[in-house]
Amino acid sequence: MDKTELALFTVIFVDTIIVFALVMLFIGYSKKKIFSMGRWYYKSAEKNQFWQVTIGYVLLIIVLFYIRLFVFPEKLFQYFG
Amino acid sequence: MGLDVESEITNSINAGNIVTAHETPVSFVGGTNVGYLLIDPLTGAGAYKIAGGANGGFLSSDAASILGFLGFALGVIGAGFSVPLLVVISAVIAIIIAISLILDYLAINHRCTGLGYLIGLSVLATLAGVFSGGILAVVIMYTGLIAGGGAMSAANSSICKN
Repeated sequence: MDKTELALFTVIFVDTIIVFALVMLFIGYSKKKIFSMGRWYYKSAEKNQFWQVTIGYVLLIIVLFYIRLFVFPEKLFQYFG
Repeated sequence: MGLDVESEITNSINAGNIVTAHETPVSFVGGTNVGYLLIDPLTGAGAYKIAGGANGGFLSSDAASILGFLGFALGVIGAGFSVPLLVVISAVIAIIIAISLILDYLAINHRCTGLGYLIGLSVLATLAGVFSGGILAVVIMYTGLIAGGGAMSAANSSICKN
C-alpha cells in the first residue's frame, strides 16, 4: 500500500464513519431507536441510553468534520499530488 | 538545526526536492522548534516536518499515549456499566488516534514495504470496534492502535528509514 492509497483509505475511513453516524442519527430520529455497543437502544424503553448514544454520535460527527475540513487539507491532501 | 536535520535537507535537495526552512528556530506552544518542508516539484507531494521526531500527525506521542489510556479506560468503564456515551467517546478517541497515526506514518520517509497494510489493518480494527459491542470491541479498537504503533516504530527504525 503506497502513500496515495493509504491517504485515500484514510479519507474513505473517515467518510464511512461520518455517513454511518449520520444514518444512525436519522434512524434514531425516524424509527426512535439507535445502534451502539452491538445492540439497539429504543427511545421508549431506554430513554437515558438513547440520548447518550445520540449525543455521542453528534460529538463524533463534529470531531470528524473538523478533521475532514481543517486537518486533512493541510496534512493529507498533499499525498494525492 | 541539528546535523541529522541538515543531512536530511541536503539529501532531499540532492534528490531534486524543494526545501523550505526558516532562518532561526521558531517558538511554538511553549517550546522552540525547527520546522521544514520537503516538496517534490513534479508531483507536489511532500512532508511537513518538525525536528525532534514530531512530523505529519496532529498529536504528539505523549498526547496520543495519554488519550489512548483515557479512551481505553472510558471504553471499559462504559461497556462494563452500560454507559453508551462513554463507549462512543472511547471510539471517538480511538478514531482520532488512528487518524493521527496514519498522518504520522505518511510523513515518514522509509523503504520497508508492507507497513502501510499493517497501519491500514490497525485502522480497520478500530472501525470493527466501533461497529461491534461490549468490552471486546474496546479491546479490539485499542489493540489495533497498539499494532499500528508497532508498525510506526518499525518505519522509524534505522533499518527502514531512508
